Amino acid sequence: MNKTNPEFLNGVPELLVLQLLARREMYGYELVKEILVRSKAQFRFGEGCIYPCLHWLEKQRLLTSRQVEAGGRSRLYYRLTPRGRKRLESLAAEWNRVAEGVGLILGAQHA
Amino acid sequence: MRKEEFVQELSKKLARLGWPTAQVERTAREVSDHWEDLENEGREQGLIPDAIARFATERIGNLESLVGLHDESMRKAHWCGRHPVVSFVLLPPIALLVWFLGWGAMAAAAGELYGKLLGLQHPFWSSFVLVLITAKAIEYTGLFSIAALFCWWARQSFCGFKWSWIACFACAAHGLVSHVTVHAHSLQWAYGVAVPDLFPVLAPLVVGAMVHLQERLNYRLLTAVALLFLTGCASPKATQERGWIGGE
Repeated sequence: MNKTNPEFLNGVPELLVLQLLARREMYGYELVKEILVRSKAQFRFGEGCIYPCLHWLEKQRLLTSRQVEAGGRSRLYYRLTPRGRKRLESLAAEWNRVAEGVGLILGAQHA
Repeated sequence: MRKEEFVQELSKKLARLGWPTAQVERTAREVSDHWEDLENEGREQGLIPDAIARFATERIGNLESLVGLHDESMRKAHWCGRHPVVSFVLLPPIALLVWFLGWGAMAAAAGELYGKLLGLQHPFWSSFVLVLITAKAIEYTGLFSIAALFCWWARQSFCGFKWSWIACFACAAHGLVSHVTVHAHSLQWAYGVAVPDLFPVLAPLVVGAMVHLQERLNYRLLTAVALLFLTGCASPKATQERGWIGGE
């Protein structure tokens, strides 16, 4: 197996966050809700875990954040940077490659 | 667990790791907002107050693992967090050497230039006392500056107090084996086992202690105590005639 695969599998939350933020900017809670709804609650995780992931991506300059006042509350919205978009493209391509490979093996076993 | 308890405990644990205050406050604010959103969601589902608190606690996740995840992800976002031994054990002694050589070379060149410009008859650096003071000043300011720089770097890179202390100990170890000696017509920077000058050993440890204390002291409490003394104790009235904090 390719040496980068374990790292890539560890990067699934990164891929999901980047993909969702590529559509529109969101804040943490909104992002978690979106992951749960779109995945039909396939992922179970402590929702606080989204923040280390967001902060890490921001430090890598893949995301930027801005404070928005709405409904009497101040929220921190995250959006993708051009660098984040490039990272998303490469992660998505890698994911498709691995998924295709896994699919071929599983398909062969089921046949 | 209630929201306030959870957020306070989270802030305390992150601060204890040596995180920058701004980042601790930001993380606490985001988790607090998230908690409020979860409470609203619970209310919309028609849960009773106790059940709402349980619902939010379960959904937000375990505090210890959240702190661990935060700590790990932020450290890994920085080069020195991924290579702490190189950054905080090997680099400080190298930085001290570079500091001494760099400032030493600059001082020598500046002295030469100054002597030429003024047309001095003797070389500028012919005075033993001047060389001694300059060499020691460069060495001692370097010890403070490099130790403080690495403490600051450890905090900025989320490596925390542990690695800032390790950097200070690396500087102290360097001070233990490095010896700057000035004799007539010679200035030596040597490494070896000899009776150490205590200052280069203690200075980085003092810097480490000061940085640690500065971060852990409760400034609000200190300000309140200072205000109490400044206002309450400064009142000319007898104690029984004073209002709260020396007011009317």
